[in-house]
Amino acid sequence: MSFLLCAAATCIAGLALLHLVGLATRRRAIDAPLAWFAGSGWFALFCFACRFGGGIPFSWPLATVAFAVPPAAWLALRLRGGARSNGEDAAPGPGVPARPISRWIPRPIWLWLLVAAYVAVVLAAVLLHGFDTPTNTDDGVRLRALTPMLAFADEWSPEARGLLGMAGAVPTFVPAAAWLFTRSVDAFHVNYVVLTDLVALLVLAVGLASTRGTPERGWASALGLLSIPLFVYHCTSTYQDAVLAMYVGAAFLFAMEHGRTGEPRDLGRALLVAVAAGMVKREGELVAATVVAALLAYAAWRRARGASIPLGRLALLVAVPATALLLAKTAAFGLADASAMTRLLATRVEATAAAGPAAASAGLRREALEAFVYALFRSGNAGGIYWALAATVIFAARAAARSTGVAPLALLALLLGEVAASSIWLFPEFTLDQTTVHRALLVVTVPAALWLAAALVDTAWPESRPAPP
Amino acid sequence: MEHGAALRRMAASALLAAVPGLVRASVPLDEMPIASLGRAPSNAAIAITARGAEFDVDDPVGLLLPLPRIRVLELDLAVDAPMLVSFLAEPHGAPSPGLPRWRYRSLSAGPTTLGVDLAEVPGWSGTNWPALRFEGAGHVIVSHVRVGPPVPSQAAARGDVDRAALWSSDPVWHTSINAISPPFWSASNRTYLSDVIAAVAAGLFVAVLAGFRLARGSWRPGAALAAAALLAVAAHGIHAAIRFLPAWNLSPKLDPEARIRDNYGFVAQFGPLAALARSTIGPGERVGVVADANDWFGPQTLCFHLAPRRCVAVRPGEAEHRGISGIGTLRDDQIDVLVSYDAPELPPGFVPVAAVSRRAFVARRK
Repeated sequence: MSFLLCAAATCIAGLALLHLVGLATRRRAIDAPLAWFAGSGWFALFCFACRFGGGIPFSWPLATVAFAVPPAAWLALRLRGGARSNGEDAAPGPGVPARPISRWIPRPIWLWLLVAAYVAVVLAAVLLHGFDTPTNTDDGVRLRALTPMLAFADEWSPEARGLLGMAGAVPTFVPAAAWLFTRSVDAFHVNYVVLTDLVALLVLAVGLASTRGTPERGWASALGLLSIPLFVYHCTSTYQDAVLAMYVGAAFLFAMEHGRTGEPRDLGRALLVAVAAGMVKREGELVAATVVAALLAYAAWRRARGASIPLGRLALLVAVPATALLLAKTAAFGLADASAMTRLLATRVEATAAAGPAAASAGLRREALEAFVYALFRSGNAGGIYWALAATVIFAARAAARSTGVAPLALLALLLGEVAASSIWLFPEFTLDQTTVHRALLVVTVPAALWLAAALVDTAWPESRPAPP
Repeated sequence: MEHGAALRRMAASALLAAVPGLVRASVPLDEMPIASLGRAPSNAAIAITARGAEFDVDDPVGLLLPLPRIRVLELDLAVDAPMLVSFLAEPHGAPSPGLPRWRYRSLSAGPTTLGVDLAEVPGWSGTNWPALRFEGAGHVIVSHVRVGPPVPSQAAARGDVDRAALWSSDPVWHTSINAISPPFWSASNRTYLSDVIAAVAAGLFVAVLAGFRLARGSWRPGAALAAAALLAVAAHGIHAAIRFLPAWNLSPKLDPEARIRDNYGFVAQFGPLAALARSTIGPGERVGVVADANDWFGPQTLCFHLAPRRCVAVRPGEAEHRGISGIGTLRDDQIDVLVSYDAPELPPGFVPVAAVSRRAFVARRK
């Protein structure tokens, strides 16, 4: 119950935040799950910044303020008459497409009933197993699910700060929120947060597609996500690899929507969730930076070609939370370790470059490349996603790009390149022993499943595709 | 009518052949003389009594069953403490759990019947001996052993192993989080399921393409590609669900204590010990966990479940003990309660006060 109340408070804070920055859609099926992601990011960033930047203990008054600030600010703005009209119910202006017509029943119904049945069965199993299963260790040695307990105790030794840097602010502060009010620890809240992330992503995928007239895309997305065996298993655990992938997936959904409709606010929504992804695991920094940089570059490119893109506002949407995060990290870990992942990467690149192109390391990388290809296509961890992705890129890339725009496909290629470079060049040993490569690939596999769903549905049913912007 | 009955029989036979788990229920079993267990190679001292074959488990006990060519095995046994039984196959020397598709059963204290389809056990070839490995601390009584008919040939055993590798469940354990067990269409030929599904999906692509051309006079490559991709993605998903679900905890337990107690499947004593420690140690007490020197799982996961109590892993010879990932320290004299999980010995000055077994208990100062 305490978790449900805090989840509701998180969503209310997230929804108010969306209204404040003009990104609410006024469609419950989109706003509710988006508010969960945005609210989680807000709560984590606010508490992280206050705790380490302001020295305010992580306690129930702080959590209450974190939940209350966005709704209070939104209310104040509305009372002053300053709340911007926003969302899809606003009258379309020049360059903004008309509000699409919602359609909730996919066609042909017999096919999608089967898909919905599969989604329901697998989702129910994930929720039950995830609800029931106590935490195991991370990587066989660490316990990332521990960091919420450290937050609850509010004891931050250098070792504890090191774990916080590794786990990230979202997995640390969000599961601990309810404990502050009940003054007791229930470790299963970490499981509940992961499961809520999954439900939010699925509702977002189906809701976003259905409110914009193509429920087939939404259900195909849900099928794709729940057909990734390792992702499905991860969602039942307290690991954070799937959580990072889900944040990236949510951002990717809006990036694709922008590609389809040209709606600038979808780009803003994608950026907002991508910034929150930067607070999940230390790897999240790098993944989120890639997504944010690619989306901003794409926005600049479109603006240069005459599209009506509020580039300054989009950049501000990223710059404000990113700056707050950087300052909080600097306060928590010191300037040198403010970006733990960048530091780790720099050290590794240096070591790899110093080793030079020795025959032994070349052989190691060749083997790592083979293992990486095995991970994509044969290991079963990613299911059939990469087979279908390869076939779609080979046979229908142009038609698919017409569906979602070029940017999401390019972003997918960037993410795959990033994971490939890390798995083959920087950390080949963990690819060869298969300990991290499959988990690292989740941040590519999840958006790949979403892209495939959109591209294939639009290619198979071209009549469902909206007119290009 | 006869036609229908024949079809149903054929379908049932095909299902039984395809789904290894159902084999145990479908084959006639013969009772094996219990006295033969007295001659089974084992590191335990096995006594044959009126109750059956009895032995104690302290360190892990391996029991090699001289049963070549037997695929189905069923045992009636009773244990007096939680125990983990792994099913293995020689000739792997000391049976080593933790391989992909490691087969295990977590036992609670009391009588139970264990059934195993050896075709699911890694390394079983049809000619080698099965083995059982007991972990925990307690007394075991095996009262009955029943075996299925011998496999008719090496080729039949290979077919059984292939079907089992394709359909049997993917058990959960520490490294499941890194990767699932590789799905093989044919484990004996090392043919990956992914390759087969891709080939079938390619065939479907061609068939749908040709079908549209013939039926409507137009090429619909988009529809053909969507159909092939749907097959490729969904087939993997359905196959994974079939393998996952039997190994998952799907009975909802509302009480978190019950979930901790009952749902650590592959570490049988751990869950009951964690639940016992949570219920008997006060919120302000300072805890030390003693375990085997090489145990990386027990101490830190016990401390995890005891949070926010201050908790450390007690290492003999160290003046100051550290908590999970080195967070927090306690000296010997600061520890109020010890939780002993498979530790070789208890530090002086403590006595057990509540126990799951003689190797898993909570101890307090005398």
